[in-house]
Amino acid sequence: MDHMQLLAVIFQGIPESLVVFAFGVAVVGEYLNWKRILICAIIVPFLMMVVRAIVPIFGPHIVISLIVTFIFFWKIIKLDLKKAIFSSLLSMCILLLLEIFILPIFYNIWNTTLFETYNNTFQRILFPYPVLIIYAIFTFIIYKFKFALFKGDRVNTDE
Amino acid sequence: MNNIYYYYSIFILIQGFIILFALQYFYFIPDNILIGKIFIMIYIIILFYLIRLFNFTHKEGNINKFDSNFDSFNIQGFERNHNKGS
Repeated sequence: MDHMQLLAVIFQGIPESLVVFAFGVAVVGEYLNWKRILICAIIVPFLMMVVRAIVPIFGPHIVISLIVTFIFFWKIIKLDLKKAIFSSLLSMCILLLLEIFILPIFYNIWNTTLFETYNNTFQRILFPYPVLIIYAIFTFIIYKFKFALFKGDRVNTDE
Repeated sequence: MNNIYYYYSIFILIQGFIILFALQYFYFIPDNILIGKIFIMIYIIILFYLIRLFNFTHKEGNINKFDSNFDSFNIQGFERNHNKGS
């Protein structure tokens, strides 16, 4: 059971969701509809805060967040079903990958653990930012240079 | 994206997600390594199931087709080039 602080939801959860949804839309060759992405990015972190508080052990909330992300990609951002499945899986995988390889570096430097960080609002907000910045740069490059994996409104090449 | 490549990519992403999910337990929560191990087992079961589903193993027909292509293009081509050279 993880009681996420409201400040952490606002300053860490919302930017994280923003990057995840922006990446998901960019990677399937669609235009970034910031209004819809912003709606998703505000609702999902609060939803995940409730899920984290309900689920008794740490971990399963990741699977639930994958399902929630998929539903938001499909219903709110209105991607095709296939694109929504692909986007949600890929964006969550890359987020997990970056977290697994970057966060332990910070834990070692500050000599702390995940659960100690979770009780400290400042560390909880600050530590994921390098991950988010790298993810955002990656998303920007994909969107700018049209490295999309699907044929979409913005990208016409099917490669 | 071609249909079959779409399914391959989803197949790889599902595997990736499960393995990353399991890795999180090993990296961050040493007390709950058991859950990580359970997910690695689920990953292996899904891997085997999906390999069967996508039929990656060679069927008899495919092997014959592969052999005939090999004979007609590679071997003959090799012999032709070899004869030219000599």
